[in-house]
Order: sequence, then C-alpha cells, then structure tokens
Amino acid sequence: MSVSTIDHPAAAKQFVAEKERMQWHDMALWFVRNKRDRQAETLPEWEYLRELASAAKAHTQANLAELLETFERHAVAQGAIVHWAVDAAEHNAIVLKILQDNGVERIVKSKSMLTEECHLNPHLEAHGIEVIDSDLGERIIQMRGEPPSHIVLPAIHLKKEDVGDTFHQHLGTEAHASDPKYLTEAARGHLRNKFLSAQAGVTGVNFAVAETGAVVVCTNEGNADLGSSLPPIHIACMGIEKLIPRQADLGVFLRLLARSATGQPITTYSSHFQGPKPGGQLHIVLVDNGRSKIRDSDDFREALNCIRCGACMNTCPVYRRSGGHSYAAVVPGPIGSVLSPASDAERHSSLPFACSLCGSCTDVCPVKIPLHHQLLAWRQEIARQGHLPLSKRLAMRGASMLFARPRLFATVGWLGRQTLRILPRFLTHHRFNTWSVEREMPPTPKTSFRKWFAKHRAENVSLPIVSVSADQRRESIRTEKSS
Amino acid sequence: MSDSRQIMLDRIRSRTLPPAEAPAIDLERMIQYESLPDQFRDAAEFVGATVHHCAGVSEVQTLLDGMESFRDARCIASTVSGIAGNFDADKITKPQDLANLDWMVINGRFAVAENGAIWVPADEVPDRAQIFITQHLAIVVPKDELVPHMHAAYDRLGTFSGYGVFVSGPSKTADIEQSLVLGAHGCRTLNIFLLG
Repeated sequence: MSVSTIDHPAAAKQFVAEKERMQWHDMALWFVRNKRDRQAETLPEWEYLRELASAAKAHTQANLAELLETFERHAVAQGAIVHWAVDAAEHNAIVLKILQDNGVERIVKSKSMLTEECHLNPHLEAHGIEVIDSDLGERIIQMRGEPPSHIVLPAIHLKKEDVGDTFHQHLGTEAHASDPKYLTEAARGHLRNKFLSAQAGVTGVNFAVAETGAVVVCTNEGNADLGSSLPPIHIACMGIEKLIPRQADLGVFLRLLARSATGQPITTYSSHFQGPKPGGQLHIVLVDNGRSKIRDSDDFREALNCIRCGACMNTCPVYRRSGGHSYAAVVPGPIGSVLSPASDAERHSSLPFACSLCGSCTDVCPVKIPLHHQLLAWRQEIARQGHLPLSKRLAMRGASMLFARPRLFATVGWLGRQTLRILPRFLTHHRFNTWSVEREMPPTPKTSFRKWFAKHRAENVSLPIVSVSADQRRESIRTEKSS
Repeated sequence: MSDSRQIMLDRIRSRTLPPAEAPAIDLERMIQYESLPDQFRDAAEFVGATVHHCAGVSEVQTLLDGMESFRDARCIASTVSGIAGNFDADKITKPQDLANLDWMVINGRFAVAENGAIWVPADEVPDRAQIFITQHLAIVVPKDELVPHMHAAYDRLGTFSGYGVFVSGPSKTADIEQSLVLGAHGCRTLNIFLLG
C-alpha cells in the first residue's frame, strides 16, 4: 500500500486472469441488479421518488450547517452525546476515548464504510481493544484479513468453498464444508457469544434526521440491532452527508435504499435511535474528513447524495469484471471512482478511466448522482493536474495534432488502410499495444469514410444527418442540468 | 472537541450554495393498493414471514400451539395479553439473561402493506434486545392498523421519543455466495397475526 499511485488495470489483472471466477462474479452481481429492477418496477412512482430523494439531499447540502446544528440540538435533547470530528484521526481518537473512559475491552461493530475509511479497527486494536465485525460478510473478510470488495456485499468476491475453509480454520467447522446454511449457523453461534460479551457496540448510520435527532440504521441480519441493544454503550459514527432534513424524508429514502441495494422492498430491520436505551449511553460522531471539500465543488457535490446502496457497482460492467479489490479503495465501483480521487487525485488517478461511460450507474442511482458525467469531469481534472501517465499524454497530444489537421488525417488514414493489410502480426500484437490484447485488428475498409460519403452525397442518397442549432444545443444542456 | 465543531461549521459556512427547498411529498402520486391485507400478506411472505388471519387473540394461541417449535420451546415470553408464556420478560435484570429465549410474542403498533414491515416501538417490550435475540418472533397487529406505504407510515407515526424499529420478515443474510439464509443474527422465523 506504499505505492503512491494505484493502477486499476494492473490491480485487476489477477482477478481477470481467472476467467471462470470472473464470469461467476459478473453473473452474481447481475443477479442482484435484476432483483433491483424487479423491485423498482413494482412502484410506478420510482422516478418521482428518485427526484424527491435528490431534492431532499440538495436541500440538505444548501443548509448543511444549520441542519447539523438542528440535528445536534434534537439528538442532545433526546439524551445522546454528539461529537464532531474534522478528520479520520479525530474520529478514531473520539471513539477510543469513549471506550477507554468506560473501561471497554471488547466491542462488536456493524457495517460502517465510514469506520473503514477512517481505519478505526486497526487503531482500536493497537490500543488493546478486541473489535469483532458482526455483519456476516464483514466477519468473513475480517478473519481472512481482507478489505471489503463491495459496500453492501463485502464478501461477494468469495465462493462458498473459500468461506468453508476460513470457518474451518477459525471456527472449527467441518473441513470442506460449503453449505451456506451450515456456515451461517456456525457464524450465528460464534457471533451470539460475541454480542453477549461485548461492552459496547459501534454502528454506522444510514440516515440522521435533523428534525428529530434520530439516527436510523438498516440491516437484514439484525447485527446492528443486537450490537446496539445488548451492550450499554452505543457509538454511531456518521459522515455529515448522512443527514436528511425531516422524518417524512425517511419514507422516500427507505423505499429506495433496499430496493436499490438488494432488491428487497425494505431491509429486515430499520432501527430508529432517539437517545440511549434506559441506563445506557448513545454517542453520535459527526465526521467531515473531506466531505466539506466535495461540497465546495459544483462538479462533484452531488456525490454526497450517495446512500451507499451499491446499485452502481452491481450494474457496472467494469466493476463486475474486475472485482472490488482492484479499486484499492474503501468504496469501489463508479461512486468509489468519484469519491476516491477527491481524497487523493494522484493516488487514485486511474479510477475515473476504469469506466466505459455507458451511463448505467447514473440510470440506477436512487439519488440521481450524475456518476458518468462526474467520472468524465474527473478525467479532465486529472489531466489538468498532470496525473495522466506519459503514454496517455503522448497519445492525446498525437491525436489532437492529427484531428486538427484534415490533410494529415487523410494521409495517415490512407497509410493505415494500406499498411494494416500487409503488416505482420508481431507489429500489431506486442506488449506496447494493450488495445490488441484479446482483440484482432479490424478488417481494413477499401476507402475512407470521407470518400464514401462524398460519393453517396453525389448520388443524392439522403443521409440521416441531424443538424442541431446552437440554441437547441444550449436548451438541451440546460434541461439535462436541471432534471 | 468544541473547537472541531466550530471549525466544521465555519468550513461549511464558508461556501454558500444556491437555495434549495425541501421537496413537498405528493401522496397523490404514490401507489394505491386495492386490498391492503392482500398486499401486506404478499409483501410479508416475499420477505420470508408467515401471515395468519385471526378473529381474536384466542385464535392466535391456538395457531401457536399448533406449531412444533412453539410446543417444543423451553422459554417463551409474551407481552400480548391473552397469550401465555412461561418466562416473565419483565423479571430480567440484564439482557444477557435472555440468551435462552426461544419465542417472543409481542404487539406491533401498525403494519405497512408495500413492504410487510411492522412498527415496533421499544415500549412494546421490557427490553428492546428481546425483539432481536429471540429465536422465533411472533407479532400481533390489528388488521385495521394497516397503512399502504412508508409515507403513510411516517404520517401515522408522527413524532415519538426513544427507540422504534420497522421489522420486515425474519433476519436474513445472503453474504455467502448470494444464497439466502433465514436466521442470521436475529429471529429465525417471523409469524405475523393480523387480528380482526
């Protein structure tokens, strides 16, 4: 992890090399995407809900400071203790202090991308606190010492036989067991003991309601609910973008979240915490860690709408075929490729290029983040900051020179058409031409398009040419932006 | 710590964004169901629950007695009047004492047709951990307390204090190769009794 830049294609190489497994991963995620489609189609108001969610988030961003204060006031009135953390280090220090002040040595955690982002687990472990991830998928990868490969399905890269081996090693289940039911039962028994002996529970937050001071946590397994109900101390960690203005907005977001994430109409448990349980403590940690910087940017602000459903990953043709680990970031997939460069553009400079700009992520996003537009904007930004690799810089310079000179373009085209026919294979298929990996050169056309066009124009064949006036173009850009 | 609060708020206030209204939610545009009980049953069964229609509480008891896992249960707690348990959930001193709870029978406040969810506020149980730690959960909810969707659910809920949870189906996971397994950390089964 000491490399300053992580190259997505290089990081994906191993995953892609195992073809059968890659195809299985691809299909497993497409299956989830299909479930999402079926659920979205049950609601004729789906598009309206997306608009409402996007508008509620825009309102939140426009009034963020006031809404955070309102949230704090109401949460405190209900008995919670609210903490503010500028960055990851402060977040970790706050959580550690709460635990140490209360003499806590063992905690259970439910899924929280924020605590992954802040690297909370290693920080607490370095101070002698036992941290047990209680989401089944997270527990599996915690045992294996791996990061999550998906934000909703952390162990989606593993096959049941892998899980069987891990559980055999750590939980003493039968060797070579692969029945998901048997394995889940083993984890249930193991984690029940952890829930019962934990002295505090740390959870993430799906939504925080300014109007009421509630934090809402959604799970299917019930792990956040057990982890926050059995021990006396509950610490809920949230990025400041998790805020929503009103309780009524929960109706919109809860209808969208699980349908988009796993194709369920709602998660099994949607817990609303307003103040601590009787005799207990509820701590809420509000974390910025770069979010206000993203908020500053007109290009990338809407990325803060994200409700971490993972729909953009499940639909992404690149994610499905390269696996979550190839992104080398807490959040992979399209939204990760937007968020990661915001924290370190150089380190993550290859991610916005791990995209075919197909736009499917934008179509499925329940909160209408214009993901593929943002990825394109990042490419421009990364080029502007000078983080493009030399090969790409030279190729771009060459292409712009070529396209700016029609005569040169025609000559090079002619040269290409002549030489490609006779070029020996070793000149087109070598290690410098990555395009030709797994691709054959196309058959060369007899004439150039310009010649073909001129000829057919001459014969008065009407071509489907659409001319757009400058006014129309401006109008269409305006509608796209406002919708 | 209070410094960080000021730093964060100042940082946010240093960039003013164009005003954006909180959207009005138009209920006219939301789905309408012909029959709320039918839609509720379909949704709840889709998420793995079992739905029973009962005329009264005595029928609930009869149905429960007909279930093998209920008859064989060693530890049953009920907060529903008319349903007998053999374990007083009120008498526990710490939630850990509930580790052996086999069955928990509770009241739900209202139910949501679109997704099979039932609202259970913490004051329905002596300790909220009971909702999650029990092996099997049964929720009794009056049939006329059905709302069509989550918007109506939050309208019905209004402001409340303390803790509450929407429960939709038994706990589940698909974290091992996308294979759905019921009974992750919470209840293994959820039986819903629609009364009336």
